[in-house]
Amino acid sequence: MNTMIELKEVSFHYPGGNNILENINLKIVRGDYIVLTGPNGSAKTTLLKLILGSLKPQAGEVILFGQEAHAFRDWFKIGYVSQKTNFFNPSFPASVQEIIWLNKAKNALVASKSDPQKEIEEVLDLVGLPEKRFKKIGQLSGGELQRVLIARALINCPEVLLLDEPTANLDKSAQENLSNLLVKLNSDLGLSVFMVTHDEKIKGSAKKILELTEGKLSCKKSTS
Amino acid sequence: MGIWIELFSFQFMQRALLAGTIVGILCPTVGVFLVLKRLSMVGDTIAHVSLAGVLGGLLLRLDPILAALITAVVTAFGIEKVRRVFCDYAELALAIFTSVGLGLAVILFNVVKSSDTSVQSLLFGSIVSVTGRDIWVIWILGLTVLTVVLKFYREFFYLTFDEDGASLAGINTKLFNYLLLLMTASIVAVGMPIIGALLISSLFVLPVAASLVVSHDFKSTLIIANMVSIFSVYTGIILSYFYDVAPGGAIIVVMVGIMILMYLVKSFVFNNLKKARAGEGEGDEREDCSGYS
Repeated sequence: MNTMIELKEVSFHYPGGNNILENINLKIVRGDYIVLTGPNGSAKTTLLKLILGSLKPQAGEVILFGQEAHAFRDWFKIGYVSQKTNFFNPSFPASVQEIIWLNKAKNALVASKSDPQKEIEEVLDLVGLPEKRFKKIGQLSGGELQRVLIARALINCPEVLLLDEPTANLDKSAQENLSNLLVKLNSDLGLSVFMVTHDEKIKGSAKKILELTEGKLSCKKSTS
Repeated sequence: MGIWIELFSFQFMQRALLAGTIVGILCPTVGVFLVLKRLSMVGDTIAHVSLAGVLGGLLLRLDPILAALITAVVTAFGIEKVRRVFCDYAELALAIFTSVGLGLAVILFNVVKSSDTSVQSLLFGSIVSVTGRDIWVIWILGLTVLTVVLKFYREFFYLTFDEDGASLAGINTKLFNYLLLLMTASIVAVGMPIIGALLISSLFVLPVAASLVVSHDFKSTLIIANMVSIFSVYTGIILSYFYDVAPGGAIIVVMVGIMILMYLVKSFVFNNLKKARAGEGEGDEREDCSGYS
């Protein structure tokens, strides 16, 4: 097994509060398709933030590709799609291709002989939006915007994709399309997926379902 | 033809156009980031506090540009600090510093007024009295700012679009926020004696507002804003020569005129397209409402 992300005995609390995560142990290996569920306020997003290095645990270790999170520099290996699709102004004057290329990591730019046009076309093909390349982001529907954000995360060819409630605020058909896309990325490209969601369709296709309740992590389903 | 040759043969006119060119490029270039970060009024705030700084400088017999620069930079850092303290009420920082700047300026204006008549020109600017030294200072600073923006274009763009995402992508958002305000402060400091403390912030905002009406992506927003700004600066300076009006005011009026014209033309074209599509039974495309809300 090839471990990409590992949390060892991780505990976390916000300043002045009690532990909201206690002795969390978690492994994400190559090819995983994990769904994390739990009631509102159960620190699911906090757990993602700990993996992404934007929060530091008070106890335990976060290991990313064999390195401790604070020393990890190859962030392009981890793609992230945030919970907030409305984090930016929909009238922001930016095209789909500009938003996707914006996320291209500098070290990935230097390492590869980047061909922006080709790479953008490839990721938009992957998410099924090749014709939207020159569209202004404000002209996209919620489902299209979510796909563009996934394309943005894929531009660095990450090895693992973290998503925070990607189907929230989407209609049923857009939810299903997104769920199918994630399954395809996992099965065809071997991209590991770790996702916070309550979506039943996505839960149904997950290889593993974890539940976070009162700071404790438990496994609800595992096909491996 | 002769009148144009005569116009451009005056040294003060050549200097005005040289200074206007770089200020006309700098303001919208940095202004795009400020407006889209919802910091449109930051130039205004820095200008008000810098006005107090220049007046204080006159009392202490300091160089006006140097006094403005010091005050503007201190203000910029202060704004960012207060913005972080009141992170849920970010605009409060601008209100606090504008009040402080105006309060101090009013007090100092009364003290300096009797001894220095040039104070008046600080409020409304005097692009036709630009000195050769001013030109050097503005161009050196201008080229430095433009180099920084070009080198870190991606970082500033990401910071403006999605600050959290930029941070996760490894961009030092705190540093680039300070850098953006530092550049704004420097432009305000050198541009204020020319355009005026009350008008300089318009150059950051109006060309961008005009550009947002028609632009389709970030790059075109930047380019159109610069084109509007440069055209307005040249036209404003020329109009001020022919009609003997304040150049700063003429520039602003031209900018507003272009913005209204662009809005009307776009509305006209958009309505005609909508009618044509309705006639063809199309129209499933979502409307682009940017610039209309």
